[in-house]
Amino acid sequence: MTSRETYPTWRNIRIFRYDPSNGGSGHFDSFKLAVPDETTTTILDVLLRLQREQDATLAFRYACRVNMCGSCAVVINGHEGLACKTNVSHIPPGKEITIRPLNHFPVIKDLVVDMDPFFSKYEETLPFYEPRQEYSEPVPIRPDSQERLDIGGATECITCGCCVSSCTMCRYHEGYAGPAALNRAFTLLADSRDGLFDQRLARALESCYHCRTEFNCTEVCPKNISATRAIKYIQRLALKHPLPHAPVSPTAVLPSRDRVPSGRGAVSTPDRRTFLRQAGVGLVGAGTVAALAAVGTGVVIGPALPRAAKQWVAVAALDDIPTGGVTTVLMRYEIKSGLYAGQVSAPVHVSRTANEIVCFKASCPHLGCLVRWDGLSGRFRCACHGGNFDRDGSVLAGPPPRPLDRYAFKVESGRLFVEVY
Amino acid sequence: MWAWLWQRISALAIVVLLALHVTLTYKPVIQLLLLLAVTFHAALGLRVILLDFNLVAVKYQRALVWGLMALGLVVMLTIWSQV
Repeated sequence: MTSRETYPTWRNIRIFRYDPSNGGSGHFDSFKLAVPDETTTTILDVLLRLQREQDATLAFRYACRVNMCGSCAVVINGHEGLACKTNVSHIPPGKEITIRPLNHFPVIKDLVVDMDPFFSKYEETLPFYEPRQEYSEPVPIRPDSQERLDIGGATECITCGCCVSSCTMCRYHEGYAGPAALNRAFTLLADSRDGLFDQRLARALESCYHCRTEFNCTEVCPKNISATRAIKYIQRLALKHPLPHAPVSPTAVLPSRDRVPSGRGAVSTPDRRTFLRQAGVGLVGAGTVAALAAVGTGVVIGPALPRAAKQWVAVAALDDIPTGGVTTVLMRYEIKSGLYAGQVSAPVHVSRTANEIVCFKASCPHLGCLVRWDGLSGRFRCACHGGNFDRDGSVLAGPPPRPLDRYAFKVESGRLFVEVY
Repeated sequence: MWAWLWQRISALAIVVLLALHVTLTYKPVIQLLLLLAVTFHAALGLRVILLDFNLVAVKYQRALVWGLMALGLVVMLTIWSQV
C-alpha cells in the first residue's frame, strides 16, 4: 500500500429532496458523512453511502460509474457535473457540499430528472447518420484530414444534459434545441459522407441563433466538448449555404426508413407583422427610457457635476481703466472641458471709483442679452426687455430677477484679472 | 456568462449616458464615463465578432475578454490624454 496518510474528514452535505407523492416544490436535507479519503471518493460514492447508511429513500440515477454513460449529471455547488467524475476533494476543504438536480428539467424525484424534453429536442435535429449514396466499401474520414480535425472531440458527447442545465438561453427560449443537440448536428453537418445536410442545416439554423456565446456549456462539459464552437460552426455554415426561407416540415425531410422524431416539428418563426410590431414596441420603449433618463437624471445629476475648470483671465492693465467711470473691456480666453475646447470672447464692465473696483458680467440676469453701459444716464441697460441697473448693478426697472452678476477679480503687477468658468 | 451579461449592462449604461451627454453637454465626467462604457461594450462586442467568424479560436475566449479590454483602455486613454 502507499505510505500516504489518510484520515477521515467530516463533510456537511445538503441534498435537494422532492417526493412526487407529497408534491410541493421540494426542500433540502442536511447530512453529515465521514469521508476516509477525499481524493478517492466521488460525489456518487457519497450518494451511495448516504443511501445505504442514512436514508434509503434518496433517489438518484447512475449506471457506469466511470464517466461513460452520462446518467449521474447533477448540479454540485452550483456547477453542473457528473457525480462519478467529481471528487469530494474538488470542493474546498470544510465547505458544505450542495447537490441539486439539473436545471431546466422536470424533477421526477430528488436528484432524478425527466430527460424526455432533452431527447425530443435531440431527435428534432436528426441526430442519425444517413449516407449520401449507397456505399459498397467502408468510407473512412482520414484521421489527419481537416474534416476530422474540425469535428474533433465533438463526437464524444454522452448526452448527460450538463450543458442544457447550464445554458440560460435554454431557460428563456423554449424552442431552442440546446447545446447538446446542436453539437450532435454539427458532427454530422461537418461529415462529408452525410446525406441529410440541407434538412439538418435548416433545422439547426432555426434555433442556433439563440446562442449568446456565454460559454457556460463549454465550461461544464465533462467531456471537454465546446458546444459553443459547434454552434458557431453552424452559424458560419449559413453564410456559405443560403437556404430558401421556408418553414421545415418534419415529414418532408425524413429518409424513407421509419425514424420519425417524436415531439414538435419545426420551431415557429415570427412573421413579418409580428416582428415589426415587436420591433416597434421595442423602439418606442427604448425612446421612452432614453427621454425619461435624459430629463430625470439631467435634473438630478446636472447641478452636482463640476463645471469647467475656473481660470483667471487678464482683462486689462489697471492704468487703462480710468477712475470714476465704467469701462467696458473685451476679454478673450480659451475654455477646455472634456472633449470640448473653444475660444470665448466676452465683454466685462469694470466700474472703478477711488476706493473700489467692481467687475460686472455683461449678460442680463433675465435672459442673458448683452447689457450696455449708458454713460449719459449712468445706467446699465439691456436692449431686449428694457432691464435697467444702476451703477452698483441693482435692478432699477424691467424684468431682471436679480442684480448684475459680478466676477471675482484680482490685481497682480498692475494688471486686472477676473475669474471665469 | 459574465462577459455576456456585462455587455448587456454596459449597453443600458450607454443609453443613459448618451441621453445625459445630449442634455448636459461638455461635462468631462459624463464624457469620460460614456467613453469608458463604449470602450467596454465595444471590447466585448469585438470579442463576439472574432469568435463568430472564427478569426480567433474559441479556446482563447477568456484571454480575449481581458486582452481586448486592455487594448480598448489603452486606446481610450490615449484619446483622452490628447484632448
